[in-house]
Order: sequence, then C-alpha cells, then structure tokens
Amino acid sequence: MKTSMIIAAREVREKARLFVICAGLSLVPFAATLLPGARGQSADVIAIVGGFLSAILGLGIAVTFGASTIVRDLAERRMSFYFTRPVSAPAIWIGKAAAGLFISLACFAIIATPSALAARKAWATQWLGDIEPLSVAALAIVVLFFLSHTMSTIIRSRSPLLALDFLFAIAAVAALYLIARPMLIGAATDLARIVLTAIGIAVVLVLAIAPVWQLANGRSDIRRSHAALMRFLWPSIAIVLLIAGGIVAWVIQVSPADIVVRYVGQPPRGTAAIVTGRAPRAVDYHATFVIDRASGASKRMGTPPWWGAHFSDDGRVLVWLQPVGTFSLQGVELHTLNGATGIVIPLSSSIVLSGDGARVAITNGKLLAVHELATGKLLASAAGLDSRARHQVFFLTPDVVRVFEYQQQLRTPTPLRIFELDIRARSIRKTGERMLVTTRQAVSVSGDGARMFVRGANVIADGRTGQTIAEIAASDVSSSAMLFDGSVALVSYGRGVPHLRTYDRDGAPRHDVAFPNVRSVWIAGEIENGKLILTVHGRTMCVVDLASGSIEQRLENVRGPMPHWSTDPRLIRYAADQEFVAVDKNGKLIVWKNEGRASARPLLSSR
Amino acid sequence: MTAIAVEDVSVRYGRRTAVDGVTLNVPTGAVYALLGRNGAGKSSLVRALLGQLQPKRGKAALFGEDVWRHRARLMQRVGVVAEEADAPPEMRVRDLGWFASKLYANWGQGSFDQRIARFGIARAARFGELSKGQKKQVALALALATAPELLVLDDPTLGLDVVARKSLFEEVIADMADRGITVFITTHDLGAIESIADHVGVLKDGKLVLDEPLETLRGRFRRIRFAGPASELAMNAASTRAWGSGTEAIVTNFDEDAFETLRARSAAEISTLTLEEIFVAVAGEERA
Repeated sequence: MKTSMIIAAREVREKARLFVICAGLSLVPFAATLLPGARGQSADVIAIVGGFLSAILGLGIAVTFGASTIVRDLAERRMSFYFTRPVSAPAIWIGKAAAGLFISLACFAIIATPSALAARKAWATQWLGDIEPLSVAALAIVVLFFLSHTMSTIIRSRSPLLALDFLFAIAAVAALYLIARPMLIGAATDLARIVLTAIGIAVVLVLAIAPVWQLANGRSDIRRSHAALMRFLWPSIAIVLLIAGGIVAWVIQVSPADIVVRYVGQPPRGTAAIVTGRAPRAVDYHATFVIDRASGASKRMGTPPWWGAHFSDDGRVLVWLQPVGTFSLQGVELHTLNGATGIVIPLSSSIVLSGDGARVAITNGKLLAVHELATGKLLASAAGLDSRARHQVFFLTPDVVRVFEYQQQLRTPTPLRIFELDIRARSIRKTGERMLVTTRQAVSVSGDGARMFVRGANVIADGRTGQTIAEIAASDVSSSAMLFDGSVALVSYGRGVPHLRTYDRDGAPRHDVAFPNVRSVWIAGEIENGKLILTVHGRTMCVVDLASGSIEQRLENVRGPMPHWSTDPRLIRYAADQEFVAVDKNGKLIVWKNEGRASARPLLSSR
Repeated sequence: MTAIAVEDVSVRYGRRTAVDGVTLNVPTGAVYALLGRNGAGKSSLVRALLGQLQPKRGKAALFGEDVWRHRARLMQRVGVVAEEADAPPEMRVRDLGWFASKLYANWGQGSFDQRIARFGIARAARFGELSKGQKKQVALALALATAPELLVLDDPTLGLDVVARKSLFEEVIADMADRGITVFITTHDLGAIESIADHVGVLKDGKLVLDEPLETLRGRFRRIRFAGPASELAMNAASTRAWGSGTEAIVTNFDEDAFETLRARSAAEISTLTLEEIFVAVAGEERA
C-alpha cells in the first residue's frame, strides 16, 4: 500500500498543474452571466454552465487518464521503468488508478463546487437534486476511467486479439440481452434493475481488478499485457453473466402455487383461467399460467396477459402473444395451448378471438387482418385504418369483424368511425360515423352488436351506424358497460359516493345502488342469469341482481374475475353456473360461485 | 554463488523465436558481457532475466530466486539501465530521485546528486527534455544510487559521448567489479568491454553460441596463416580464406602441438585475436 501511495503521489505531483487550470475554469460559469442573454438569470446560468463544464471536463479527464495512465507507458515501452523497481504489479495499478481517479474527481469537484455553492437552489432545480447529480457524475467518472483503460489497452496493442475481443464483446452484449429479455417480458422492472445493477457493479469490479492481472502477467509488453487482460476480463465477465443468468433462470422458474396472484381472467364458460402473479423471490417478475380449475393442471405462458390474450367463449381455445424466438423483441407470435401458430405479427398488434375460437382478428397500425387459427391462413385483410387511432374490434359473426375507431381525446370532439370487414367478400366498409369526446375504451357493445354505449358522451347509439338512440343523464362516470341485452350499467359519483345505476335499452333509469364508504366500484362482468359482477374498493366482489337492483352476494377480500386484455368492446357474460377463479387477500387462488353464499374455496394449495 | 542463472530459456513473440533455449550462469562478482548483433535477442534475454517477460520455456533466477515470481523483491537488489530511456518524460530529474528514494532501502541520495551534477544535468529539468546521453546518465545515476548487488546494463553506451562512454567503462563498471558487484552488460562497444569483462556470451539468432570466461576464449581463438591448403589445418576453424598462395584461418580450439606440427610442415605464423575479432568470427556471417 505504501508503494501504491508513492506511485499515486508521483502521478498527482506531476499533474498538479491541472488543478490550477480547473480552478481557473471554475470561474467560467460566473463569467457566463455577463453575456447579454444571461442577464436576470444569473443563478440558472451559473448552475447550467457549471454543471455542464464540470461534467464534461471531469468525464473527459477520466477518459483521457484511463486511456493513458498505463497504456501510454506500455505503448511507448516505458513500463519497464516500474518493472525494474521493487514495485509489485498490484501496487503499480492501484497507485496509478488511484491517482487518475483522484485527479479526475478533484478536477470535477474544483469546477463544480463554486457554482453549486453560489447557485445552490438553481443547481438543485436544473440538475434535479443537490447530491444526486454529483454522485452520478462521480460514478460515471469512475466507470469511464476503468472502461477507457480496457478499451485503450485493446485498441493500442494493435494485436490480432482485437478480433476476439470484438467477438467476446458481442457475445457479452447478447448474453446480457438474453438475461434481461425474460425480465422485460415479465414486466420485472425492479428485478431487472437489481440484476442489471449487480451485473454493472460486478463488471466495474472486473474492470478495476483486471489490470492487476494484466500487469502481473503482461508486464512491460503491450501485446502480452493485452493478452493477459483478455485472459482475466472475458472469463470473469462470462462468470458474472453466467451467475446472473443462473439467478434469473432460477428466479423466473416458479409454479402457480408459488405466486402471489395479481390477475385472473377467465372465459364465459369452461374451466380454464389465466393467472398472473409474482413469486416473493422473483421481486416484481410476473409469471403467467393457464390453469384448469377442475384438474388443477397448469401450463406456463411465455408472456403476461397484457401482451394480448383472449379466450374463446367456451374456454377451449386461448390465444396469446409471445415474442418470436430467443432474441427478437421486434415481432410477436400467436400461441395457443397447442403451441406456436406460426402467425407472426408486429409487437404493437392487438388481437381478438372469434367466439368459437376458430379465427383471430389482428389490428396493427393501418391494417386489419383475420387468420384461421388452426392453419395460420390469412382469410382477409384490409388497410386504411387510422394508425394513430384506438381500435376496438370484435367478431359480430364468424364472417364479420366490426371495428370502432376513435382518437383518445379528452376535450376535443373527434370522429368515431365504425367499419365492418366482410371476411367472405374480403372487403371493408365504413358503416357509420359520429363525433364524440372519448375516453379510453370508450365503446361497449351489446351481445348482438346492434347497440353500443359511448362513455363520455353517455349515449346509447346504433352499433352499426353510430346514430344516437337515447342519451343518459349521468355525470362523473368511472365505469360503464352495455349489457348483453342492450341495457346499460354505469358507475357514477354523487356527493363522492359511487352509485351503480342501471338503464333499460332506451336509456330509462331502472335502479340506483349506492355504495357508501367505498372509494371505487368497477363493473367486472355479467352473468347469464341477470346478475352483474362488481369489484368494490378493489378487494370485494359483489353480485347485483339486475331485476331487483339489490346486492345479492358479497365476498370480502376477494378479487376476480377481471377483464380480458383484448380490444373486444363487449362485457364478458359468464354462464349461470360458472365458477369464478379469484384471488384472496394473500394473493392465493380461490374459487367462488354465484350461489347466494359469501364463501369461496381455495383452488391450489401452497407449497 | 550464482547471481544470474538462466536455464533453457526461450522467448517468443508470436511465431518468432527471439531467444532459443539459452542457458547461462553468471557468478557473483563477475562482469558478464552479452554480445550479439542487432536483433540477436539480447534485450529479450535481459527482459526475461529481469522478470519483465515470461519465457515461453525455461526459467530465469536472480540470486537463486525465480525472477518471474519474485521480481518486485529482487529488484531491491538490482540496478538497471534499460536499452531505451524509460522514465516518464514529464518527470523532473529531482522527482525521479525522490521517487526512487521512497522505493529503495539503500538509496544514496548523495550518490545520485553527485552524478547528476557531474554531468551538468539540471535537477529541475524534465526527463523528456534531456538528450539521449543525459537520459542514460540519469538512468545510470538512478541505478547506481540504489547500491545494487547486480547491475544490469542493456546497451548503456547508446547515445553517450566519448567522455561519458570512457567514464562508464573505466570508472563505473571497473569500480563495480572492484567492489565485487556483479555486472551484466549487453554492448556493441567490444573494445571497451574487453578490458573489463571476465565472462562473455555471444547470442546469434537467439541461440547462445558462446559462453565462457574471456581468458579461456582468448586462449581458444587464434589467427593462423600458413603456406598450405586449408585441409592441412588439424584444428577447428571458425573461418578460412585464401592468404596469398596459402590459407588464413581463425581457429576456435587452438592447440600448441597441432600448430607446431603445422609449422614444421609449412611456413606458419600465429597471432592472438581481439574480442571484436572473435565476435566477428563467431557471429559475423550475414544472415541467410
């Protein structure tokens, strides 16, 4: 350590002039306030110029020193000066690196400190904090110093090994991508941040330690030095990536019993359900399964349902979107329980399945296409949709796809256009248009598609032409749905209390159910026996009898079923005897049924 | 006691072999001159025996310890003047002294200052601003001020003027030798080293083709001119050429009896060789 300090002291003494230059440069932000355009904004100018100048110079010095502190001596055959002294290789690197980092950080601090102190408030405003930007810059200086040393060694050795370095670098980036990819697909932003930060720290440590190996084994010859660096660097990075990959692979390998469920969705009939949740060990990674509530069998889905997933009415067919292959995040492929369909579409596409599960409609930008799911055959397609608009799509019949196209504008009225794609005739035509102020998922449609309810405008309109049939006087609507028979249910707020209000097909009020002491009520689905399923306060399921307007069943600490992740504008209408897969307060799966009991049973036992 | 022991050392740069299976031993207190033409592998061998370069094969040891493994510790006992001036160019001469003084247990600041002053080098001058000769002087001053047990000089006269060169050989190396300090030197200045060296090695194309005490060497090599053809010579000849109607030969294993027999048969005369002549005879042919 003493030898390292001697080397560091020597380097710092040699570069001491830099500190004087930086002290002079620290006055530049103050001088900048004298410029004609800067008057009256002195504090901001000092903060901006001081921040930029210190960051650019600090980083520049770090890169320069990192690239030259050892490598210049090696390239100019001067490292023998150190190797003919009683100095160990680690001492040379530690001393030189400590000096390089100290000089870079000191130069940064010398320039930044006066402006940060003089314009403290403006500095905090302009650079989003007092200490944070300084810490980030300091960290960047350290990282760049080590990185530029490695890059410089590789480049200045002019060794044929450079080609291998290039290949290894590509392989490392590819491996990093493969590690990050499942986390990105599983919406695991926190997990990705933890893993990538750990990899980053490990790689910086490798970059910091590798030169010790480089000097100990390569000594004064730059090519041998490069080879020695490579021998440490790439295996170490490979080990780091293997460990990270192993951890990620372990973390994302979870079973349905491991997860704390956050989403459940199910078809109107059948025993299948999509379950998405996070295992405690997986941080925020979302694992998704299709489970059969009757048998308890499950199958892993490659993506969470918000990538796009839709059941057929009988629940026998499920289609979902999953990235293509191992590398790509460009395209997605339609998958079913039988495997990949071979239908590859752009990432931004939306899908809707026909009620019988035989066909799938895909919207992407200007295009609407219908494929036969079993064969992947393109049955019909049409261009001409507005790529900037939102589209809600459903199969009116197996041969007709209806599209509602509208801009999501909260204040300005914009047109809502209605199209129908005739699959047999392979033609699309506009069947209606009306102006409206829309909100997200503004349109809901009756079971036969004859009528629609437009939220925001609060009108019942013809489902094909968009012509107004009736208007509903309701304000502050948070959730709404046109029911199967064309009647309307909506949740609006009166004096801060949510009310479920129902209307008949012509917009005449029928029932008003208040939910006092509750913050929110959402319409979750409809049951064939004239019942409506509500999610109350995000944690209680209520079943309302539409005929009487009374709450028939109430299940506390239960969530589910939940809406589908598709663009189908129709409210899900469950079979009268359907059992619902839901989540209890602990995130565990339970099953309940509309049978007048406030009870539920567990679906899977925890490990 | 052996100061330097090199055992079957080979150094390679890619496919090129710079040093090929060299074995040599330098006893403590000896002055060993390693000779060779440019590119013969002298500097590579020096770097290997200083632990700066790991041999592809073999082992180099200083004072009985593997130099590759124990380089840092061994350098406390070794003074080195490298072939090329290697001190940081921005460093001032006085800072070089300060730096070395912190690293060596036996640092002699007085010796360093005295030598620098003697050659008129300003202490405040930056190393990069010095002439080639001055850089060598500073390097030599640094090496000598460490009170080394072994002094390794890789072509130390390169760039030195005549006075400095004379001083190096007659004062410095001779003084070292007198004090029992081992000196290992590579040089092209054969005339000057001849009077000081007691061991000589010659590298040719990476191979050590000659390694023995100078006195033995001088005893082995003779120039013989005789009236007959080369076939009459009953000794090994490094080279032969026509000399008038007779032959001139440089013999590498001079034998008094064989020479007397030759002289009895034909007119023959004999002369000793300088180190330079021996070197030319051993390493002088042009490379293929």
